Amino acid sequence: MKRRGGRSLPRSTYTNRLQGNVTWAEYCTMELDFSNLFAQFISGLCRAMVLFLMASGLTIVFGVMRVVNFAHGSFYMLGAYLAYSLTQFYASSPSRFWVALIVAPTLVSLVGGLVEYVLLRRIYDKDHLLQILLTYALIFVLGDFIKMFWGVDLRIVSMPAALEGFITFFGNSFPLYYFFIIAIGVLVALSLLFILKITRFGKLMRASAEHREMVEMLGYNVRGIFTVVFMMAAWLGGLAGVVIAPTVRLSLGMDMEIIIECFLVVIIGGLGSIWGALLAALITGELYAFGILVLEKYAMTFIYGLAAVIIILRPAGLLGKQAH
Amino acid sequence: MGKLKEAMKCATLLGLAVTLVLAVTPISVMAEKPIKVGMIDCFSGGAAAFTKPALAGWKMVIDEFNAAGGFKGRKIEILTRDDKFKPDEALTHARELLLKEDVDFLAGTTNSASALAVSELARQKKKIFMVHIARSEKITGAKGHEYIFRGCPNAEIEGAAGGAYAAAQPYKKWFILGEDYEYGHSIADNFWKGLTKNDPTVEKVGEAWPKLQETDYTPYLTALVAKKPDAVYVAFGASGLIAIMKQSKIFGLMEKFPVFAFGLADSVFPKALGESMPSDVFGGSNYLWYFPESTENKAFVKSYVEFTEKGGAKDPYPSGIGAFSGYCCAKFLTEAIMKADGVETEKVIKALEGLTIDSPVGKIKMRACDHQAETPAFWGKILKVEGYPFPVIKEPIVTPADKIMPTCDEIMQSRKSEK
Amino acid sequence: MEKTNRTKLLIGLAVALFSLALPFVLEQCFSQYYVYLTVKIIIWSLFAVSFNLVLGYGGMMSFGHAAFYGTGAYTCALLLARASWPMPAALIAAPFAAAIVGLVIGYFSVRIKGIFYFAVLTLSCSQLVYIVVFKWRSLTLGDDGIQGIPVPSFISTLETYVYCYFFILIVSSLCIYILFKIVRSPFGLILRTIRDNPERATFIGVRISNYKLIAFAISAFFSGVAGALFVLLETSVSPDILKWSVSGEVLLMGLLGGMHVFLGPIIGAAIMVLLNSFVTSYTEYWGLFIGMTFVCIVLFFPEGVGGVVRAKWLACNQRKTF
Repeated sequence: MKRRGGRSLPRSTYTNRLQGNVTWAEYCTMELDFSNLFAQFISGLCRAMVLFLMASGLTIVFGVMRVVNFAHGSFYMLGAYLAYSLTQFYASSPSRFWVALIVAPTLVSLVGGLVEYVLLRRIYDKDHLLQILLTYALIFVLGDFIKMFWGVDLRIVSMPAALEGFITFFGNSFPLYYFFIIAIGVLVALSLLFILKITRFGKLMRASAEHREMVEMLGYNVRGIFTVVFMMAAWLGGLAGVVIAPTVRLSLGMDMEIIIECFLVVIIGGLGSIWGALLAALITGELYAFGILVLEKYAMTFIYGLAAVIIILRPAGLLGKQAH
Repeated sequence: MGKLKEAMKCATLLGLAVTLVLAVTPISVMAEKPIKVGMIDCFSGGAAAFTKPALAGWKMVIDEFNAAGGFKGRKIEILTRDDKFKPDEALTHARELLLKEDVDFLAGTTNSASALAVSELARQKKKIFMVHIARSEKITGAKGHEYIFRGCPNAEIEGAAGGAYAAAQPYKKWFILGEDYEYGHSIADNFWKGLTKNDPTVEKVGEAWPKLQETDYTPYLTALVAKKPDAVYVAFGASGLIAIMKQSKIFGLMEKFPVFAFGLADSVFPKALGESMPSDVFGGSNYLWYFPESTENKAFVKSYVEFTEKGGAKDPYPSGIGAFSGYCCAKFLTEAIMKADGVETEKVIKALEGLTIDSPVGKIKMRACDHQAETPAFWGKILKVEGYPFPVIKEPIVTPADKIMPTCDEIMQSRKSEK
Repeated sequence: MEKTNRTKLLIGLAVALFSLALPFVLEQCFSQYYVYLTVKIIIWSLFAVSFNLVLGYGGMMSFGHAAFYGTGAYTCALLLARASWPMPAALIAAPFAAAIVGLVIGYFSVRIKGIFYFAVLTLSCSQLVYIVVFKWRSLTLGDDGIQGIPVPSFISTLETYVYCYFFILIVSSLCIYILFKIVRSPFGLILRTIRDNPERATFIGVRISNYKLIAFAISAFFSGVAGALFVLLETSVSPDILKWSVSGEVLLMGLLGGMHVFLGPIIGAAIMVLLNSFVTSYTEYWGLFIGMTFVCIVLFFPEGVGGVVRAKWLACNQRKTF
């Protein structure tokens, strides 16, 4: 019985039952009742919203500029670290988190604008391969800049006092902050859709995505549009970072941790589609939340599996446009 | 634009050429022959929160040793290398230190896989490797050998101590929430073994194993609640512990269940968590800066704080994982060198086996059969206590190591079956 | 024409003599550590050149080659350490295991249109392999890794790295030579045609996905050899070898060295290994350094160092003929 790196403990009866074939009826009558399922649903929704914030940024950049920004996770990390600094700076003020919520994404979007202007512009007409390689190299550059300013220690951003409470739903109490995250996600989704469908700029964005030359010929500054779109994406990434900061520990590996899941979400939803990003984020979040109930060790593999299936069968994603 | 491009091209090529030339030129060390200790560890990531204090703990002892004349005039010099938490980097650095720098001793690491890999190299090259943070029990257990020494606790001791402490508590139905990697499984397994040994009536109602570097634990926390345990045991590595404790506090886990968080009592966590440090939670550590309230402990804390202040990074509360372990390891090594009256590997090994040092928490012996230091463990309920800057254990309970360590026979048996 | 053939022969001889004498020179004048570094460079060169079959010649940006490198490494490690196979058998079995993984991943990947999708699919597959190896602790010992892998005494690095160097040099050179022949063969030519103009390739009756799949499998095979050699050198392995950062590293080597030059990745591997071992001891900001380097490469030298060298070489030759 001497353990050599493997576990040999008796597993609980609950997980034993799940090892074998569980019929749907059995699953429903298990210890899980509606309130617990609802709890899983809310936690999945929370995760989904953060993923959506990230994925929407990635997807609009691809949709308009046909560039995949590997370094999108760096904006997320930068947003979180800026939130840290801002909350530290205004440590005595009770509304410091709200200041961070507004200022940090703005700063990140400025950095994004700089990156676009100095670097990305030069590669729009280059091979896709080189574009991806550039943004991949950018991860290291931005990551080390963050290391330079903030050092290697793990950082913590405290929860804003106003959101520290709990709400009770169906017998389970949830942190108020979860609903804040969900609310932000919904707000951003609505705003993005509003911008894209109703505003003039949104129309220009969609037009540049379809026919860049045409838009240029009509006299619009497409380069400027690209810069603004990239700044929007950076803003979204930074916002995701700020929003998630009070719930996690900030570390220098944050950018790498999140970027793969973002890619998967964007692909499942369809590159270029915001509705797709939202749908895919919801699916991913809930798949993970319920996945850990069913086959808890391999929840992540469901997501990889789903992304693989989508890439193979329907590369345009669930809501994306067919081949370009 | 063309000229700029040309200039950039030339600059890049020149820069690369210069760096390449410099890379191949070894740099000669111009000094009288010091005793070199090669320390490999992760100084650049989240682990730096432990490795830097550990290094400070080492340096404190080494500086004192050197100031007192060193060993027959020879001073000890610590060469550090960053393995970025990757075992193959650790191996590369170990080779560099052994082959190029010709170090006398190796020290490190935090990553257990790195420690195991370097340990194997140390065995081949017949050099002592003093482990100061890595916790896998295999290092001094099944994969141990005569050249490896560990001056810090291992997962077996820590888990078992937690289990022994938990057995004294009235909780019967347990849920285990662990980080899905070797260390997490190890401290959970050993905890469960220790707990069931002392109290066979306990029952595990569920377990959940989020992956390493998970950002969002909420689905696991909600699943945990559904299981309705009496108590929860959290088996996380240091970096993950900060994340899970933060989210648990937000989630209000401590109000729902008694939580036993392995390692949480170490001062590094309240420092890192700040306001997010939970209270009303059970935690353990291998060292508490406030207990025992002995003169030795107080003196150690004082000199450590002064030392780090001089170094520019004041660390007011020495941690167990980092500072204390580094201190103990350095003490073991320096006292062994003096006792052996030499730096030769075989002599120092003999001196280290069975060596007892005076640590701030009492005497700690380096067990001769497996080269594992018999480090005590402290457990208790972490509460907000008047006069302390952050939540601490109100009434710590000490579990001495020799009560819970596997016997020498068991260790030798496991090493034999490993071969 | 004859002159260039003679110069090539002379260069070849010089390289051969250099590589024969190198370990002894390094060991005597500097230290064994540099022999070790050289062996590391050779292993990474093999990995990078086999990777480049897919990247430079196949036109597919695989972000999952760590899966093949790691599969080769783990197969070799497990066979040597836990199944006590003799070294030659393990060294042969490992690349076949890697090739099988390559066929499976490749089967799904090569039909994918769109470089980003291909990259993410290969990345996901490699992550799945990583998860399997990480979690299958009863077999692979999980993240503790496997140490003390027994290697036959003639390549054991206990005393000196020189014998190991020669063994790995011979095996790697053989593999690189085979890859060279493949690249120069009709198969290689069709592969490049597919890369440059897929539509035209289909017009002349080429089944693109079959060719791409075969290239993928060959690349996986030799990456597996590199992984097995890694195990022979280090005598230990951990799941870190399957992380996507390893895939990223070999990708950068291909880019740095020049993906359209056959020997380019070798230059890339040498530079990356040396820089890694040097720069990290001087600065904490290795990422910044390497990132800026690659940004410059992408913007100003997309053909890599090898590409620049080849351009100069061709220019020289052109001038000569005039």
